Amino acid sequence: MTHTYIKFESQTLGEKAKRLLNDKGIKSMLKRNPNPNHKEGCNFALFIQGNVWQAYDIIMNSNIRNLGVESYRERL
Amino acid sequence: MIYLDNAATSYPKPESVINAALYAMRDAGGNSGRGSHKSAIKAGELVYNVREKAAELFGCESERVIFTLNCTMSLNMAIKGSVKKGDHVIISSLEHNSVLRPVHRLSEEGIITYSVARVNPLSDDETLKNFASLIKKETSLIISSAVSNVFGTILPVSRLGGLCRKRKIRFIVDGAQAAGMREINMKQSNIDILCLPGHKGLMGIMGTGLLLFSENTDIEPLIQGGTGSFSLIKTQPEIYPDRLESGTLNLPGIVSVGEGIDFIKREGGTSAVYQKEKSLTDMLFGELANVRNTVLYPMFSGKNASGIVSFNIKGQHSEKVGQMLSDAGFAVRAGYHCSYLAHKVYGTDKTGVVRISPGYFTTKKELKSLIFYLNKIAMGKIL
Repeated sequence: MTHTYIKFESQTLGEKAKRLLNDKGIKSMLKRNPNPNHKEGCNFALFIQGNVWQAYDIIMNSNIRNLGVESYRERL
Repeated sequence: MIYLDNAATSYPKPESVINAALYAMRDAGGNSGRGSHKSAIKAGELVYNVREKAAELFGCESERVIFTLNCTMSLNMAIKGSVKKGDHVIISSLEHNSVLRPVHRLSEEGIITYSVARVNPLSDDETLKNFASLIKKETSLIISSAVSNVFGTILPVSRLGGLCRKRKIRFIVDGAQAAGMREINMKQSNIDILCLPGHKGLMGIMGTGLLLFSENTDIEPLIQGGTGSFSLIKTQPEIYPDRLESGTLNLPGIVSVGEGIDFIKREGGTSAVYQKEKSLTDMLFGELANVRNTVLYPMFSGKNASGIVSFNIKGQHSEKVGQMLSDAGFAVRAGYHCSYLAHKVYGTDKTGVVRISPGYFTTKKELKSLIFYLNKIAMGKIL
């Protein structure tokens, strides 16, 4: 199964994005990134219920710093 | 006990604040930002709630709200994280030791030089002129309290902010005696860094402080360590709040501050709190004027004063009066209030002053009771 999410460097930035999206009617869930970059370590992933690219545009338009959209395939 | 030392810390705390702190300890036990389990994520959400509340109340971005242990820590971080070798700093003559001491230490280390601008409590124009006259090309920083912790004097922070903006000087405000009691908006007043306690006017528990800074301001971190982010990188993260928030946060304290902010809102907001406390201090000032042998500091009263009334009884050291009041069941603060400059510059360094700082829960009846005892002390009926 493939997961797509928006990646943030900290929970603070992820929470800020989550609340912005919620205000615009887009539900999301913030979790620790299940597939962190092995050069940097811990960060956070915002899982979007709906169109991730629409959410990403909203976040970018609000200048909330993020690390872009990322996907990873879960091993079953 | 009748508690009249709210300038030191507000007491009692609202029940909702106590319950919020208990909730954080009992029901949200995780470490904010440290782990993928639900209680850590929940703790991070609770912390972020308070960032948003503080950001909204004071006018900055939520990620630029930093939680510290107290206002002194915030000021140290702000001051030491702002200056570089050769800088000149100007502080007001009403600054607490939490400003004077770090600045003085930096000067002793040969990193900065500094000047003290005399505040004229009766003339904001003169105060502004005094600050402006000390500015030189090396001046990188001006620091001012919003309200004096000794006399309650309100400083012209917005006008000082305007001066700093015009002269491209960073402006740090010590809001210890103003937060929660007077409106402070960082954007409107051109404040670059605002340092606050969480446990005074914001009604949170002790061990809480805030450091808020504007979008164009960067602060060098004084401490480095774990942030729950960038864990495989040796250097401190560049992003805020992580850059300035190493180590485990005081979750119960932070949550209590958030509830304190909500409490203030429910009670009608900062201006309602101010009006209530101002009516108490106005009444107190009027009553004290009729107590025999009392020395008031009238130049610090009226429109330029907030939340604090200071006085002495002729021939008696303030500490002695404070002790007599304590014996009679009143909690006031006598002595020097950790404020070398204020007492030195305004001539109360020999005796200190007795400081009365009513709080949101103080009643006029309690103040009348205080006046009754002060009359006895002033007439020598209590020794």
